Amino acid sequence: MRLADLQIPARAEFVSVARLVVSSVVDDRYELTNDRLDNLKLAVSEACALAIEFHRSADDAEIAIACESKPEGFDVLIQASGNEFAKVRLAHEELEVGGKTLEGEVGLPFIESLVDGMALERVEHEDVLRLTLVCEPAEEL
Amino acid sequence: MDLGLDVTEVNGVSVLAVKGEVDVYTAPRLRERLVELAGEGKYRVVVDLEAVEFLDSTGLGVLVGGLKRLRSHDGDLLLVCTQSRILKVFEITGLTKVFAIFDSVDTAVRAE
Repeated sequence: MRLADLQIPARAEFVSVARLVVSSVVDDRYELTNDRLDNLKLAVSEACALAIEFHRSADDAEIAIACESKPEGFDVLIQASGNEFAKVRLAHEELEVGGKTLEGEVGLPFIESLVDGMALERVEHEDVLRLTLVCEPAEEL
Repeated sequence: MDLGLDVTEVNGVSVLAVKGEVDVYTAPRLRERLVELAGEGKYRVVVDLEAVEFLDSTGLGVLVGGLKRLRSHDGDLLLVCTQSRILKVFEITGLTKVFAIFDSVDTAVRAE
């Protein structure tokens, strides 16, 4: 079941909206610790940042974000137009310290470390990053 | 989204108190402030993250850039952070080995 659909311009100033909407929607419906909710916010933020990096040259690009419930938790889907989402890295040239590059530790592997599951899917010529959290529904008041 | 950046001087050390959310949108302002401090010849900097509510990898990149810039002038950038939600980001990326992280501004300033 679809819990929420959100479309934001692929611009940095809208990333906070995405993470707030997603966290509010799932916090209402699921039993999540603050720690896991923080991880989800971070994962959504990182995924949107990757999508923005991909869309850097397109002024009117948008990012579609959706939340879907499933029996064992929920998925957050972040859809970026184009076909290179998986290859995008944030501009982290500054993450080189003492000759060691930390680039490989951000981007998709970083996001994956924050959620219970991550999959990159191809839907109608677009890449969709699926983030999965396994959790129980919140108790009805 | 508001990002607070206040600089005070404590015993010859610049203390940059960051407040709010540091993400892909606000991180460039943090970078500008760190560049300004280095441009003013302030190479000993403590960045106080105690009032930071959110920090993503863009913010980490800015802090690492600041650290490199200051160390290239024989200075240093130390962090103050006790919040687990923020410390976790440094731990996941292995940056706890790169930064000296203290639990108070006083301790960090004494270490400079």
